[in-house]
Amino acid sequence: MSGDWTEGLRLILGWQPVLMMLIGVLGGIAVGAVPGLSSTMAIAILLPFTFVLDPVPGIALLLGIYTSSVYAGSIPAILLRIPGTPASAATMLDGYPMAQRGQGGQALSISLVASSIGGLLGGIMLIFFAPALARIALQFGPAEFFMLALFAISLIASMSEGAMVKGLLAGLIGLVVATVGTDPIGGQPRLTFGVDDLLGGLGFIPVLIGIFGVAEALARFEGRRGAGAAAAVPTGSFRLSGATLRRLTPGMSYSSVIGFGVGALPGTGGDIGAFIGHNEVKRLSRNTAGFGSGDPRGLAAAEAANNASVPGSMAPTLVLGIPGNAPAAVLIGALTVHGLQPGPQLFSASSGLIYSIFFALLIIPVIMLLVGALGIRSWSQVARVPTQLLWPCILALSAVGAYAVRSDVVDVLVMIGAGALGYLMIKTGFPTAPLVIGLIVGPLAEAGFRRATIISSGSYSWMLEPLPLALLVLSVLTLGLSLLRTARKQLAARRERAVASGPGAPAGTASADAAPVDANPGATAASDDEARP
Amino acid sequence: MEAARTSGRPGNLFAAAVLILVGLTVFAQTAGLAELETGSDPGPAGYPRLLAALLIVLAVCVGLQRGVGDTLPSAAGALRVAAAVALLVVYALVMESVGYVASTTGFLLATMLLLGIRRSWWSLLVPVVFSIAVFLVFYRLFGVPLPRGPIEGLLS
Repeated sequence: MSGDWTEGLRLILGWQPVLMMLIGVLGGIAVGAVPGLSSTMAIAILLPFTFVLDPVPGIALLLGIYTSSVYAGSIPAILLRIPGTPASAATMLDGYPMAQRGQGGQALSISLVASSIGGLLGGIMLIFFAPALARIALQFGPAEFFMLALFAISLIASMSEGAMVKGLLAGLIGLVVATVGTDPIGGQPRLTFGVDDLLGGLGFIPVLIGIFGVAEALARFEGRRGAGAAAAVPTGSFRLSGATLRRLTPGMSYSSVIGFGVGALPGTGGDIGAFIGHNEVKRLSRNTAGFGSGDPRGLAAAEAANNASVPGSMAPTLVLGIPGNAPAAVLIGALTVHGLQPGPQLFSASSGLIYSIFFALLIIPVIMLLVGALGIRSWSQVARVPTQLLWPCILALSAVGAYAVRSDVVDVLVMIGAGALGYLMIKTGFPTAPLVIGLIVGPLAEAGFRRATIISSGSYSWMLEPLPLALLVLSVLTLGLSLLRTARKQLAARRERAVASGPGAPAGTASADAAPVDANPGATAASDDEARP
Repeated sequence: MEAARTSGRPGNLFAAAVLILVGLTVFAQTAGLAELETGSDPGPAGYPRLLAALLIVLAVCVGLQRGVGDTLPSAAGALRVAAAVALLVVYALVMESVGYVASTTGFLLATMLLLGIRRSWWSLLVPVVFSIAVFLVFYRLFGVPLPRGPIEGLLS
């Protein structure tokens, strides 16, 4: 065991991984600070460019981007009330009011410190839990893995409030797309439409880039003008006193545990973790009147939770091969291209690599704290950069990235197709994250389903064994609860509308047609944001 | 801002129709494979067909829902998105013959024009600098394979 630790440490402390973590942190801050660029988009687009690196520096770069973009998303959330990434939606609750009061500097410092502490605590928890979890996971058979995949899809579909069926459908599309190519058990070519390039499957890296990079960029071509730059409010002092830090520590620690736990659930990530963390800290604190209108404790809780969810999301990813959320799904893609299939086997076979990832997750928050503190006055400028010039560049970079995977134009065309699909999904209210989770767990789910059936000589009785059954029940409960929540909300909305009925009918033609059932565009946008990575 | 139009019900009907078509395609395309099923294995066709059946059932549900969706673009906006997709396809198709730098510069120039960025030197400078910089960093520094044409020969 101690050999794994030293091997992991040796792997991560080379000049190349350290340099890559530094570059990743810097790049991630830029990605997070620019509204509209998300962690998932950045990881997906840059993924192909890491293939030429060894696995450890490549993954270190991507983890650096992931971690620090989740932190830096707080910068525009605090200063402009625009979450830089979805994970910082809860940061706005207390961060923006602080900035309005002229305490933007304080808020930025708190967010940096809380993010670093959250990341660090999350990393420590990962080190404690992951090996134990991996030992349990080694006992899992195909039936358990199939049910875990099902659970992951149910969970992420249920997160898309009010659009659960669409979330499930997106997950199913992912699973179907994953069946294109050579069948994993019998080796039969399947659903290739006679195209030889598809025998190896629809390259999922081009699909990831299309869904997360191209689709989002395409949506920006709808309008011509970017949002005007917001007026700058003086940020005040950036200094944090020891007393403030001491006051924030209990909340940050508690919130980190929550963020880690939420992140570790398959399919859920920092956005939800941060809201729950914020809520729980508020519940347990005294004098909570200021929560939501600029209480530093609320800000620290949200920021600690979303960064602790980063290592949290790596737990199911590394241990089970089931992504904790969309960015983690992309990271699985990165590992598989290096010929490493995440799961309990990888844990025992390439333990050096796994432990180097653990160390990276501890080192990155420290680098982030240093780099973040050095540039804290300048990052806020990044958040105001006009983004209009960026979108064409994103498209170009996506195309080149897809090409670079195998030097094949077919991959670029697949990427464009996936991008167009993603755009249509956004427009018709389908969350894209479940599709990607489905795509990633697809092979695992199919192999699990078929092997389990073969083992029970053709009967489906394996579904009734204790552990698979428990997971199945959990999946059904998750979906049922989500349906119940939506129904309750619709009922409340209908009642409200009945009370306020009469003249002030909502403007717009389509929304009137869609009337009684959640036709509130605001609610749609919110659920969309949540579901989108 | 004008009143937000969302894709709503027509969007749902459209999505349901596409998804049902996908489901049926899976059934049609796996027809030949169905014979390969052995007694105990659901076979290469069985599993995708199970998914396709679920897909069709859920698609019908979505078709019946009164839908909500994202705000719809204006006609001009939708046209710009379509144009961007078309430009991407052209970019992909000429990439290998023209080379990375020239095709990327052209693509960026065209898409920036499409976005209405006409401040002359920005919309000239960014494409040229971006494509050369990306080439130097990724091709020369990292050794990422990029399509090579005459300009790439001069740069490396």
